[in-house]
Amino acid sequence: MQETKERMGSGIRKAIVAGALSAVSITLFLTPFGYIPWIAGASLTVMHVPAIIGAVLEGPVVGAIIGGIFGITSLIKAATAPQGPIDVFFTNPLVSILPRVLVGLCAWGVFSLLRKLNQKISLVAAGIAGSIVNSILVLGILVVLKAIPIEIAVGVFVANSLVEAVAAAILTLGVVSAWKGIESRQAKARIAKEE
Amino acid sequence: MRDINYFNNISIGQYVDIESPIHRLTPRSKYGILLAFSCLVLSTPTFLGAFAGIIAAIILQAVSKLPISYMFRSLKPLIFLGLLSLFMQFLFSWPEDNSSTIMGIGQLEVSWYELTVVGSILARAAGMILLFGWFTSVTTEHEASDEIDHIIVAVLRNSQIAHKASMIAATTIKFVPIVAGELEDIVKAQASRGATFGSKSLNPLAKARNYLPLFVPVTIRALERAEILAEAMEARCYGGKKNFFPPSPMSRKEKLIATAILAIVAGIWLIDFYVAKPWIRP
Repeated sequence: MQETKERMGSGIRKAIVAGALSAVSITLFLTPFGYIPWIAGASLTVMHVPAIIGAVLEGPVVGAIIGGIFGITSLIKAATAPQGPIDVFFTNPLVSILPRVLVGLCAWGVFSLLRKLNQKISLVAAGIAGSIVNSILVLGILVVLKAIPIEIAVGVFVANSLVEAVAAAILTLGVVSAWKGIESRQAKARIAKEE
Repeated sequence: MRDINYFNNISIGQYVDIESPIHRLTPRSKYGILLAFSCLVLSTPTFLGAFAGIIAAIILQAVSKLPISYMFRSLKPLIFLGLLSLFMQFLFSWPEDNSSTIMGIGQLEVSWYELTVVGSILARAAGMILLFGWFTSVTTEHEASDEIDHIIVAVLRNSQIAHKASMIAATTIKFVPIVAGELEDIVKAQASRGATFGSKSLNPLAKARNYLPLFVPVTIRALERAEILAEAMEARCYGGKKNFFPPSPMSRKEKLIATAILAIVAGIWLIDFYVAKPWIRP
């Protein structure tokens, strides 16, 4: 019987985990806790971290889906409750949705590459990679669309994104280690299978 | 820890259970009304059309027997946006602007044209906020996710992807209020144990580590719920061909109302285009 490749019903589990983590991302979006306030105005957003966690736990497709849903909510927010002049550009799906989908994919890529090395390092690296991909792509597309000049983009990147990457790495490490601890107690430790 | 009660300020996602003619409509018409008025608010040439959208939202709110003062609380962030836009208009100018200036100090000036720009930004944003607030107040989560389900199936033709996609959308919509409630619980629990999330240190590592006691429990609880739900569904052999809730039929009266509203929206758009636009040109 060819049951080695197909686990029955795994599709539903991924779909539900994707939905749950997307809900976490949306909730962080709607409450003041989506931002860690840092210095006078520049705040670190953590709403892309559920996408990274989903990619690490369940694979690239789930990470991409969560990223996509995060992108859609940022698009809806830009259309319905804009909070600044830059928000207008987020109504373009190329700016809001595309980079976020790639966040999940890249996080999974980095994680699966470094997994064999050391579990913790690969989690930290996935967090940093996902966050930096988010920043580079969003700022990059904004520069390409001539929304902001490149000097401001680089400035924002240096000031905000590196710190954001570190914060994302810490959060990813925290959540996945805690989840693995819980799961191995229930004798069901599984992280993304090699597909 | 000033704003612990979030549910007072988030008017998104709170269904209000009252009997009213609007609540009795099928979810399809509610989505249709939302879509029609959103297109109107976002795409009219001048801000008067967007303003008509705001008035429509207020009328809808009144017909659905919802308190109107509730709506205006969600408009608070617009004050900041309006001031910021006004400030930017002082600093910059538009190339096609040949109207007279209202006031200014040397280089920094604001003109009638720029005022209409600010007005249209505010009107459109307010219209969208009010419309979305109205929509989430009259639609239960079940209806909303069901309708998304039907749209996805209609687009993707009842395939496996359609079922998974509708599962994801339904789970997300159902989980958001639950996760928000847990977030509030955890914030209060951690605050009562003396954890402060706004630490004074500027070290980002320390700040992120202070954030962990909030972020980790929320995510873990969400994952646990997902795990339980997934096991329950797998145990009931979910998957394969799915029987979904059939779309509720639209009565004849409702079809009339829907076409009337579409006609009104189209009418407002045309009036705005032909009448208001030449008139507003200052």
